[in-house]
Amino acid sequence: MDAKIILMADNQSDFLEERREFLENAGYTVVTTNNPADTRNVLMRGGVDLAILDLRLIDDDDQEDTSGLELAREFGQNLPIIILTGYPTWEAVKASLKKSLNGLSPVVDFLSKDEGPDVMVQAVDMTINHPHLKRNILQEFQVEATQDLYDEMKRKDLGDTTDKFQKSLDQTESELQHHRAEISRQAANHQKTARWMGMIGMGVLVVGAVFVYYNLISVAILSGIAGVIFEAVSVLFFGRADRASQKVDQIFGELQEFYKESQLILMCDTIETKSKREEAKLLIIQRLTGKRIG
Amino acid sequence: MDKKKVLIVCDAENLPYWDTLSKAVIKKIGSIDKELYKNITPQIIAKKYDLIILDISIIENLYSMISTLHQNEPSCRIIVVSSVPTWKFTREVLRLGAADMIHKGSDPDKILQEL
Repeated sequence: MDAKIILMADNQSDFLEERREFLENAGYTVVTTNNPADTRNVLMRGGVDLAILDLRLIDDDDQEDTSGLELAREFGQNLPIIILTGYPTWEAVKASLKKSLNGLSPVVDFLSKDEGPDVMVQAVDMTINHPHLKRNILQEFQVEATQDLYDEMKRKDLGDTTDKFQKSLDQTESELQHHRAEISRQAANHQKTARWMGMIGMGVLVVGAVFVYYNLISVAILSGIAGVIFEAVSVLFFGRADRASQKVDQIFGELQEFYKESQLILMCDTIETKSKREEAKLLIIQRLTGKRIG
Repeated sequence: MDKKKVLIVCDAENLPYWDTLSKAVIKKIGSIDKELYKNITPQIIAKKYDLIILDISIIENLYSMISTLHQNEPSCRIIVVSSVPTWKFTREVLRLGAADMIHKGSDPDKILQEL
């Protein structure tokens, strides 16, 4: 699968390069810009899967500078955008995440730089890689906004609504299964690499001890340093394996939720009275839609 | 402006504020019901409101209220009012499904405009 492309825009070059590395280590291809004009050009050209925009793209000291948010308003309907800022305020959060009349907000998430790179990568993962029931439901009902979805559900025959909703659940469940298998494979690979690095590191340290025995101190020191480096890399990969395993657990939890929700709808078929059966199904679908979509 | 059915859910200490504001401002929006958070029941939640205003001091209660309301009536507009909104609090409230967050210290006409 081709790596997803992230556009990252920030007027601080050092910060940009530091965070670029975290995203690239997470498997993304990163394009960077440091001013609104270049950012707009990249967004207009297309080909980007997600954009992370600084709030104050022109001047960090200017409280009135919301150039990043202005770009999000312009392009946020076409691709997911995350605002990442060193100056979070409740007004900026409100302007970014408040939904407009079509049920969509300019950005999908709002982060502070102080929350660290892991939170940023996690937000990107959740937005870009994670199968989305919301997207599948909107696609299945052939609408673009959540408000249109509720109108469409009211218009449609109940049987049709139930079928479409069940299909969306099944589709998302299947995507989640695939996603979980992918992450599990990554976790297994990370563990394998970690074990090999650990074993090599141990081996090199033992060799270093032998050199010490034969009084070859300088070589022993080099061996020791190499051994420590291998062990450090091993710890790094064990950490990655651990994080991947946690993701697998999280996805498993979500799959359980989807399974329960599917069962809830199916159980309605055991209700004898047709009108009560339909009422129960509609109520469940409305509540699940509200819970999952917002 | 079309008349809306409005529910205000607040703590006891905030009730005088909403009594004053509802007489002065919110009546221009529509009919208003006021309930204390501790008295909220599923029957009250089951009523169809166009707009629900939440002014609840304890954050866990507020988050729980937003989730419950949003699940029961996803098309209802939920607005949170806070006297000391922080950016993290605002983010969490909007992520949970509230439509908006208003600062309580604002001018009443501005609050009406926001509503």
